[in-house]
Amino acid sequence: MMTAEERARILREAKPNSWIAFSSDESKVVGCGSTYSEAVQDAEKHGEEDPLLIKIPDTWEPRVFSHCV
Amino acid sequence: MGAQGFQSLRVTYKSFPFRNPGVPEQTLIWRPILSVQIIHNHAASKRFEAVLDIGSDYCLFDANIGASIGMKIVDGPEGPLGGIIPGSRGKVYYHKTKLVVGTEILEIKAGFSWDITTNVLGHFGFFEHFTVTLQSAFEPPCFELQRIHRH
Repeated sequence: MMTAEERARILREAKPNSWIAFSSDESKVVGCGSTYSEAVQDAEKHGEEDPLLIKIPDTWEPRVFSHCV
Repeated sequence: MGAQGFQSLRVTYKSFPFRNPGVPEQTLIWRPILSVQIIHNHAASKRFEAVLDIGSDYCLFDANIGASIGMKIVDGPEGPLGGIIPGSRGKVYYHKTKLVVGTEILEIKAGFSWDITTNVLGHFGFFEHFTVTLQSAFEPPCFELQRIHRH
């Protein structure tokens, strides 16, 4: 498991509007791609069958997640 | 966690970059995040992060995740999506799916959209199944999840 600061740095440096894949133990980045599927394929190419996928937003500005339908 | 599911689970918040000119001293933010999976028919997605959002009515997932396991996203009933700031609205397509939280597998109805920037766990499908206690004052913050079992 990486530190909070290291995780934030990785996310900050990732390409906006992309996906990254962490290793199963969340200790390192094992894949990335412009889509979910690309990131999964990249992770599998690097030998990780159980990656954790994270969507990188276009900006790290404040967000309000709540919504109503 | 055992084969019967977990009774209680403590999860540490996860860190994210934060950029707000109004609060320049803050460059890192903690958010309550769970790693979950969805299952459609017999296909399971990879694990992905979703934010716990008590203000969200439904669980919302990136449509690409659903499509990757064979869901015909636009075949689902369509609904609008709006936030607290009036303006742009997105499209959401609703589907029955299975949500995997730890060892628990829940049958839920969730929204799938190409217009969201973050996967969200909301009231229907998530908070109706768990008691969630946020410990935001802890360092690092954490939350405790307890499954609600209805008989």
